[in-house]
Amino acid sequence: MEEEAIIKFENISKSFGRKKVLNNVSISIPRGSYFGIIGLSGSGKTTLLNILLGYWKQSSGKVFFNGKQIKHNKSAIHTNIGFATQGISVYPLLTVKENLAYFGRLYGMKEESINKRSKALLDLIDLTDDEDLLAKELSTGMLRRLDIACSLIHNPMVLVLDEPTEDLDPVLRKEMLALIKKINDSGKTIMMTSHMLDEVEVVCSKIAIIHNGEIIETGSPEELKNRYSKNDEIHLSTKPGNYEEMLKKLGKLNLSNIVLKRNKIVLYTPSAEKVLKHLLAIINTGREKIISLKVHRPTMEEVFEYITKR
Amino acid sequence: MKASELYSKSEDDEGRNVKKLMDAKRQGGRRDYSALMDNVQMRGRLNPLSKLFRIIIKNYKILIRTRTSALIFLLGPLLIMALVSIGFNTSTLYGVNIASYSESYSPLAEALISNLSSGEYIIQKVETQDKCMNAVKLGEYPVCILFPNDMAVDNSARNVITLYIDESRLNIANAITEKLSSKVAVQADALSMGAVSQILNALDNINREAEAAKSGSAILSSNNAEEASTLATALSSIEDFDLTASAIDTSGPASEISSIQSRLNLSSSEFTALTASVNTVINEYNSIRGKLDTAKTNAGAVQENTVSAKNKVNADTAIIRDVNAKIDTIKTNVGSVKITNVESIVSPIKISVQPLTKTKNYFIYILPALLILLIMLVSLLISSTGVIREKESSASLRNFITPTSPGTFLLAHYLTYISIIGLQSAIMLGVTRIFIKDVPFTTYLLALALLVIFATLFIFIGMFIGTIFNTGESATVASVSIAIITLVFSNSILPLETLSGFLRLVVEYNPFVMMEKMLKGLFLFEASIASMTNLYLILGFIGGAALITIVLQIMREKLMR
Repeated sequence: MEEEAIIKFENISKSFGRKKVLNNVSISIPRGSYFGIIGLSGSGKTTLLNILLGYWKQSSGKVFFNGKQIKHNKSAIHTNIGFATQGISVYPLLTVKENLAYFGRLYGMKEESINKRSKALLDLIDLTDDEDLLAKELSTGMLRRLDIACSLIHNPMVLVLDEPTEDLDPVLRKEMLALIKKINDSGKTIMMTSHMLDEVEVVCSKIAIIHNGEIIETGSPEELKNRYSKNDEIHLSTKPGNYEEMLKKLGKLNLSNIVLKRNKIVLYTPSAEKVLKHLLAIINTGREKIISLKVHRPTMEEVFEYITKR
Repeated sequence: MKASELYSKSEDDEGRNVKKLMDAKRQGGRRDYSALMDNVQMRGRLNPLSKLFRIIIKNYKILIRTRTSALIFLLGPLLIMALVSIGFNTSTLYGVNIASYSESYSPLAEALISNLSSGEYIIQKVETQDKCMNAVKLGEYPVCILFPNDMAVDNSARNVITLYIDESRLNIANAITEKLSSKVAVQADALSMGAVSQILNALDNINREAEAAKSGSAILSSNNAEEASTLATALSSIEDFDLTASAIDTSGPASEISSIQSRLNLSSSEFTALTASVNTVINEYNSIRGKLDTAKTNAGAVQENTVSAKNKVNADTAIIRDVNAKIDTIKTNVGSVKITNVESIVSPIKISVQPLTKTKNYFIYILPALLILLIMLVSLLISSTGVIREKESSASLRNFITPTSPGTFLLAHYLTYISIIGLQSAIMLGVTRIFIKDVPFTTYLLALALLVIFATLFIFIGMFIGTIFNTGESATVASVSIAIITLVFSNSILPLETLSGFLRLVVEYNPFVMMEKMLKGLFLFEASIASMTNLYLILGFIGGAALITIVLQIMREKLMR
């Protein structure tokens, strides 16, 4: 049974002059999902978001929100979607609280609601103690959180995030993803663009891969990985590292590929457990000592690379 | 632990601080985010004025928190007006240095120099004519005066004083030339008055002498008439003389004597005696007759002389009459000089320059242009850079996706800028009032209203510039360019009369020119608003500029999409 789509792009194309940025893009974003749109820089991710927000008009195609075409119901977009851009959409010379109050008022909220909502959001983003600081006095991570809080001030059904972890260091990125997950867990649909494939893989429930303005794949990370790689990878590093002898003993045991690197060997196989069992037995009988052994599924990065280069 | 303590601006510290924050969060225990999901009261239609007010407040906060901007916008005009009003609160020129040269300064030239030096001018004598002229070229002196050699007032004099001026310094060159010319003219007038006074005195003397001559001539004429009459009488008398005596027939008396002798029988002695007596009588008679002839001849000569004398007297009388007529002509001519007042002859027509203004100082003259210039520049720059700043701000996208119409933003920005400029105008006019007290307070209020109207026009133009340009630099250059064009084609730098026909006609509709006229009318002549017909044109321009800006804004959004 098809999930209920809160946002639906139907055959969206967009050209800037002669350049076609989007070509017949169709995506459905399920209600309550954490939807990731991944693609290289310039693939059309931000353009798609801007079309959703009405900032740009599509050359052709339709966008639906809650089953209604947004062309005829722009206010639905304004009131039900929160948007955090790649840049920080706040006023640096307003305080944290003033930014929230300002945007809350532009969304038509009453003072009482703004106060109540601001309090909850500040608590969520951990800026309660900093509410009187000017935005320009905040660190990059705090600014990102404030930006998201401003996107949520009007309690939208969907939070659209354009590269939310861009420019963040690994710690802050993790923090940010956790925050977004928390927001998703609270029932909001998240639509996020990113080119950080590892984080998308971890947090998104569904992914669309956009390449050269076209959606080339859609599905959950697992589905995509299964679709494009049946193999698991076994990364083995031993001492003294007589890999060729080990491979001879292993024979032709359902290995799809073998890559011999300087101080490790990578085995690609659809039956990792079986190969691993044999491999460990060879090591135990020989004089090799395991330095490291890793077994993992191919990453989204690898899947993405495969899909976009095929 | 306060989050502000946890965070530092240093990138290196950021990760460590976040870790501390996360630890602090863990210590704080599980959080309840249920409030996030509360249905907030936000769907109701909020009064659009509330949004408007919030945007204006935001604009103000941003402006005030950019301290330098706030200082420039509020203290800038205050400082400018204070400096200008202190500097130009005078009605004279001070210590104008003027170079002068003459091969030989005559007393008249020295007197002129002394006269000029007694005022606001400092005359510096230089050694050569070239030095004098070069000093002007080098900008050391605005004017060089060349006095002619041995300048004096006499028949051979060509008293031409030459002024070399630096025409590029139009404002001061004209003022100095005018003042110098007037001072020299005063001196020249004094000299002329002396000369004319002498001429008039001479004429007066002529008149008096002619009068005296006329009375002498009348006496002469009368005497001549008498003499002519006497001569006529004498001539008549002479003409009446009968000096004719006929010759005696001596035969008659001889026969008679003979007869008498015979009848009376006179002795011969008696007869001889008688004959002798008769002969004596005859002789006497002949003698008398001879005398009479002589007298007759003489009388004829006298008659001739008398006629001649009479003719001469008559001729003299004619001459006297002629002289008399000439004296009359002289008197008539002298009398025909109706203007006998020296001043009236020297300066038959005087130009009386009467100021129509009560206040007489340079500040009030430059005030309208200064106010307009400041308001125009500030309006253009604040609005164009404001629109650009908003466009460049990453927050503009969030503004865009809120359910707020572009018109609300446009109006909010306009109201922000106009309120700032209104405040600035009030400050500037307040400072002006300290220095110009004799202008009624209501004039200041009207001026404030006019400035706000004027600012509105340039705010919309600035917003238009901000809309079509994409960077602060290009918008600033465009704004300044518009301000310069508007300023150059106004009366402030060169008089409009120096422009050619069509351009001048166009420039008459320059908002700067129109507003300057209105403010001048207000400050200098206390004109009423009703008399300011240009105001309707300005209002029309505002409508046009606002419409273009709004249409452009809409088109830009459409084009962008």
